[in-house]
Amino acid sequence: MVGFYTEDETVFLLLGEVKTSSDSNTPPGVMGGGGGMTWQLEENATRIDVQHSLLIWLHSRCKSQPFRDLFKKAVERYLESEGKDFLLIGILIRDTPPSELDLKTRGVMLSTRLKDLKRVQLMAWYLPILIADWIPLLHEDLP
Amino acid sequence: MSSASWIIDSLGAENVRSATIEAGRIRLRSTFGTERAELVDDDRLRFIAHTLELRVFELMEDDSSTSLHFAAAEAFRVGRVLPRPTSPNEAALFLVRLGCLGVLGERGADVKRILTEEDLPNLPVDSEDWGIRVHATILDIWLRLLRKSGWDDLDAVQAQVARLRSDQSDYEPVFLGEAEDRQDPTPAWGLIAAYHLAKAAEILGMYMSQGSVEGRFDVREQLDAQFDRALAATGRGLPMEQEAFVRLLARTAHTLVDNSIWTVTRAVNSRVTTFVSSMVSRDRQAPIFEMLPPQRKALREEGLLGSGQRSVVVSLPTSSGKMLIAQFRILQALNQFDIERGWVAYIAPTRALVNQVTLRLRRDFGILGVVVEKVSPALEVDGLEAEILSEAKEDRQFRVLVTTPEKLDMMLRGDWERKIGRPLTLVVVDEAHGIAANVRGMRLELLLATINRECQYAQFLLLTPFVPNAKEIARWLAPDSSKSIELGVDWVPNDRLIALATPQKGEARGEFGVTLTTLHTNRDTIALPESIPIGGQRPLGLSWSEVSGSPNRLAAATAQILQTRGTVIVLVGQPRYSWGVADALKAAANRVEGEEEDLAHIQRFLSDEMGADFPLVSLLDYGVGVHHSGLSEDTRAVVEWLVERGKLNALVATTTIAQGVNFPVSGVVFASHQYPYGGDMPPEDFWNIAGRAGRVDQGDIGIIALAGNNPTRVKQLEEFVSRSVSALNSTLVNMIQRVVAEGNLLQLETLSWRPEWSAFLQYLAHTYRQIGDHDRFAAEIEQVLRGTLGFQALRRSNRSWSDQLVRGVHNYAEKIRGRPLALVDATGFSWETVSGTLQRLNAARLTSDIWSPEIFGSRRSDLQKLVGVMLEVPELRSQLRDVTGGPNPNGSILSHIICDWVQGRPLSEMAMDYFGETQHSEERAATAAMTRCCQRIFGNLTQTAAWGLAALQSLTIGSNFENLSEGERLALRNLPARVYYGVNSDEAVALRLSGVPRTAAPPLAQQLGIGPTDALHEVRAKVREADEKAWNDALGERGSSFHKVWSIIEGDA
Repeated sequence: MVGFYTEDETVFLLLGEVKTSSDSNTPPGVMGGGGGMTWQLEENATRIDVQHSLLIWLHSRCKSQPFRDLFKKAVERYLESEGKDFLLIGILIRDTPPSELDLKTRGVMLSTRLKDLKRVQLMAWYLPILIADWIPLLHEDLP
Repeated sequence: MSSASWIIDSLGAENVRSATIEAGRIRLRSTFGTERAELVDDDRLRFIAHTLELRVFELMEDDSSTSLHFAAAEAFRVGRVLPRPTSPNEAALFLVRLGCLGVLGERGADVKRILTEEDLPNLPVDSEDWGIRVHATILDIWLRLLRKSGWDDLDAVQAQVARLRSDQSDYEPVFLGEAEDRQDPTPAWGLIAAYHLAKAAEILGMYMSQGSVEGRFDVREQLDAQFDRALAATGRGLPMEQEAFVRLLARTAHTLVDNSIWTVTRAVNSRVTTFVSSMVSRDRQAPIFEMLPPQRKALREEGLLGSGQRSVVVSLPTSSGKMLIAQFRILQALNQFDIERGWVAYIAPTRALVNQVTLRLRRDFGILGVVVEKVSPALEVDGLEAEILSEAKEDRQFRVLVTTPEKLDMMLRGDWERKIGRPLTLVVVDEAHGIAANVRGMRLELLLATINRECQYAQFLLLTPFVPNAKEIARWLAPDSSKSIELGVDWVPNDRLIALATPQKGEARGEFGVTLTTLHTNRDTIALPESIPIGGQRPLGLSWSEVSGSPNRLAAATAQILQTRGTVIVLVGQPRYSWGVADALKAAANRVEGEEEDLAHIQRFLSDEMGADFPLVSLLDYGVGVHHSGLSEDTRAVVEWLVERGKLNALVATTTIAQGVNFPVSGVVFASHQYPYGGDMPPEDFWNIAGRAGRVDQGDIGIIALAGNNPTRVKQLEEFVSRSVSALNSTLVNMIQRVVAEGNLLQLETLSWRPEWSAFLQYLAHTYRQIGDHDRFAAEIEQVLRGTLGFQALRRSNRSWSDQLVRGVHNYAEKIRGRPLALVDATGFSWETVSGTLQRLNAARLTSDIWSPEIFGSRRSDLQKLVGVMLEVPELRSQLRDVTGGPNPNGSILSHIICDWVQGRPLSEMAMDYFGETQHSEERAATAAMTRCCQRIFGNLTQTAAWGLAALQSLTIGSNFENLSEGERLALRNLPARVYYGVNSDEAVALRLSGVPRTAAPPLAQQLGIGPTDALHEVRAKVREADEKAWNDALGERGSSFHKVWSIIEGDA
């Protein structure tokens, strides 16, 4: 996930990961391990080359307004803070009952590992529709 | 600043600056193998490098290529020092991106060097996994396109793409099948993007090698089609960095097309196309696929190739490849006047450069059938040169003539343009900043003014290192049709470092180390805030007191450390200082292992030419050479060859010599920054020499070190380096300034004894003669004077002086009215000198019968009389006086020296007889005597005495010359040539003109059966056909060595 996040007049660069899971465990498997959300957020947060690839990718898509201004403001903030001031966001989407534990352990861990970053957010969305039904739903041909 | 300045503002300019310094620090530490004091850590450096790359992307679609070049160069400068990723794929990706930034930043030569020095990553191009194999291949071929190391890389690109095609059917189905099973379309899109990048590489490689792609020339459109499709594929779910990669490649590919020699020279004329084909030919040792940025800018962007401008000044930094620019302009001029069979004069200031340029032009233009000839710097045209110049057969007629300005001046004033019978169409002036050099500068300026006035078709191309007023110079020769092409100082072939080398006292007795302290300059040079210790303690075994007391020894110690990186030149103030420095470098550790056949031949030759004990012979065993005016010309030629071939580690040369020759070196150490005749070298000369360090084809960083052995000297050097290059000004203004103070400007004839004024008065006399009518000349004086650069400047700066000068010329015209001014042109003397000399010749009863070869033998007394007359000639006397030294010239000794020289007496004997001094030890005395001998004979005697004799011939024989038979004329003309070449027969003169060393010429002439009337082309053919055996038959066992040296001098080795 690449984009911008605005808060009043302030624009942040937004980098993030989205994971979906029906795993009944809390936290679900997608939160941990190599390739899991935590790992990917850490990668995003610490690998300068990854961040810059995202910036360049975003740059080519922000040539016209209003995106051009958003890009400029967000990147200025990012550069002035030497790569620290951006919004790193992890979104977990679930079709299970809500559980604080889905995020808590990983959140605590990230808060120590990524303490240099100014903004890291983890959030979980719990949808009342099974993940398996999402694609048909998107295609509006749910039985 | 560019539109992307907000990126730098956000990052902080100070951060960029510190990263740039850190990059310099890393490179220097790695150059000298010292530990890096890390002030900016790698993560921070990486962050800055990436940000600089983002700026490149921001600018990539901008119109301003200058901003893009600058940004890319900055990103490249920092990026190049980042640690390489460990995985081959990531490392290759890193290098491709870095290479792209380098190309966009006009640092292609650095890219090539990096990719040559660092082995290409070991990519899995044979992987069984088709996806891995394809991506590895793409990286590999783009790395090769960026490197272009000869034909091998371009061939490999085509071969790799062909291999992908042939393997596709075997591997692709399995690979895609597996992806389909996973319902993953991404690998398929990845392949599509990769195939288009492969095709783009193939197109680009083809274009670079042959200038077209399958018969079509729309290479940019063909490339765009491939990149657009690749880009579209990357948008289908491929990792984000893929898209950036494709965009970077696409932009770089365009720049590579722009830089291609084919693009720059497209559709000029067939001669140019043939020339380009030969430049990229497989037969060439180092094919040229692309132009350096200054070449591209001059030829295409500034339109030099299609230019109709009559006067062009190309003012570019040293090592920008001005020679190639000149070559294209020459071809264009030849084409313009092909029907008239017009010719081009290429003038270079030194004999060494004349030789270098001739060899290069002959080599490059041979395929076009363009005959390139050189004429010697001897001022008179000898019999054999006359034959070259008046050649009637078209296939042997020269089209390019390389010579010195003084010789061309005498030729044109001797009516040689008419005698040649074809028009002079272009004058290329190499090192044209020489206009500002006192007497020679005045002559050069007046030569150009004369050509401009008298040669109908003449165009001008002036090549100078950076000068701030190129436009003014260009306008001088053709106000309505001129152009100056300047790149200023923004482009350099590689990074340079200007540093003070100082000794640091060690703890133990005598111990010291050398430290480099970078100097901030007004150019783009690497500068660090801290000093760097280089090398270990006591290099060359020297001691603290030795180096702190002598810049020469400190320079030797510094050179010893630097020479591990490649050849280093050490510049000393005077020839006599060279031996001490060279001797210091003759350390056991420097001894070159193994027998080198070429070197053995050269040493054998040197023993014969300079004496068996001459120190240069043994110095060569240690990879040390010496080059200055205290060596014979053939000796200098072989030393130049050794340097060009990288066979020397250190060359000790004088400040003057280093200017005149293109030595490829990685470093220059200044033991002195002053010229032998006193005074600091001007900043333009310093930068000219500095530019020779670390050239395009040389090591990573060009290092220029100035030996600062004590605090006073350090201060002087700091001030010296900070001086700015001044405008290129005519010497006329200074000349007038001096004379005004003395009040002589209205009586110019009283100034004729000064060589620079003699040149000016000759210009007036020549123009007077050409106009042929006193009243018309009087009416046109201002116009004539305006032909000079100096007068134009004078009118602007001081109207009263310029008016005075006009009146002075009026008065002078009255003085020369009705005089036989042809003698001024024939002799190269002022009218005042001609007149006085005629009287002296009469008084001494020297008439036309005096001229015969016996004056060098049985009739030496006649020669002595002639020398006596010559010693009274202001234009000659200071040079001749210097031969014997002291205030009282000795005509008897001079005539003895000339006779011995012509009769082939070995230099070593002449050195001891005429140039020995007793205050040295025996061994040093011999070297000192030989140094002086060569300085006097080659620097003062040969050219001046030959000129003097030719002038006296003109004054004694006069118009009767034309009544003589061809054979008699040739024999007479060759008498001064005998003095110039140091041989005593017409046959030997012919061999000397064909590059045969002096001592070999007489016996070889006999062996080859050369006759006195043989045409020069026949003589050359005989020499060329002569094998080693013929040389051995003529010279005994040393024949092979002389044969080798001849082939070096002739550029065949």
